[in-house]
Amino acid sequence: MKNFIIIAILLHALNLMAQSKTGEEYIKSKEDIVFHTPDMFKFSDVGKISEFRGVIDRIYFKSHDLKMVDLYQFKTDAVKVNKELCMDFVEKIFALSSSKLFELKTFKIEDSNKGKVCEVYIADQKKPKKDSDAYYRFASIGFVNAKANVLVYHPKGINDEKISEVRKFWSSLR
Amino acid sequence: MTKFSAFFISLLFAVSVNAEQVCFATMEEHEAIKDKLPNLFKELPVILGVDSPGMVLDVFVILKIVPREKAIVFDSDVYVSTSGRTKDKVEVKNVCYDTDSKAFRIQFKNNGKAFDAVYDNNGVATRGVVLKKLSLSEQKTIKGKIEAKPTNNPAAQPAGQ
Repeated sequence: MKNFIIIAILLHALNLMAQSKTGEEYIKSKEDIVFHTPDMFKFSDVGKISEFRGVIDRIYFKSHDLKMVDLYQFKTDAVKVNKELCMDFVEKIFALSSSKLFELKTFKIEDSNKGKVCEVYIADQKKPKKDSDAYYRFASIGFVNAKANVLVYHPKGINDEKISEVRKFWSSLR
Repeated sequence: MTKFSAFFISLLFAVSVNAEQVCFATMEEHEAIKDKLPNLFKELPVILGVDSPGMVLDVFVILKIVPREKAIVFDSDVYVSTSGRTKDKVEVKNVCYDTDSKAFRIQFKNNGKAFDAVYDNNGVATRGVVLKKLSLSEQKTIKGKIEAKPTNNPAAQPAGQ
């Protein structure tokens, strides 16, 4: 029994190491993160398009609604960020044009240490109940190491402080 | 043709005639075909879940198929002890059920990865777990367990630095 527990713990540790290695292929950050591929994170990929790579866990970040971030990576011939490119990615992820679920609230293009980045805020079309969450999405879209990345947050609403935090994380990517 | 092969072919024909795939994309369509669906899916919303604290891995799952005024929404709330919690919602394109194989497939408006499961009397089996139908109070119990889990995943080791 004791041997079984030791083997289980070792397997679990190996599992986590493999997970981290896989994550580094997709994204790196100056922040402490763990990357969870859909193979490791059961059901995290249901309803996600094929460009979904997994979930970034900002492990020491306290605020829950900006802690887990969905990562998408798209193949594109484009080299610059513009509205058309960003909205193309948003359409692929959320199907906004045919959706009765989400609607676009705000769209901005901002400067960052990695060039231009789109910031897209969408919301559930149905008014949220007081204690409900998962009604909003905030996406940062831009190039990191020549890869087109989309980071999708699930915040409980957005404000200047949260936007600042989202930008800080984008700047930390490398 | 022997009598046996004639019988076998007619049996196959009978099976294939009885097999039917039924689909719904709206509440109206669900109402029209619900008699052909298993009990689990006869009424919307459908709330399915797993409550499985294990020795090595805890997995809590709540999946919901929720009707709306103009759409059907698939809502997920998942906690895995080695990964953490993820919640999402996505609009359903259609839900199909094969009366022969008892297989379910939920497809999504964004053409995202379909949700496949097989119905059995205990619930629906998918990805190595069996999701059971939850009452509202059972859903609240599992949600409470998910929310009681620490925000920072103690199993996680920093990576990507």
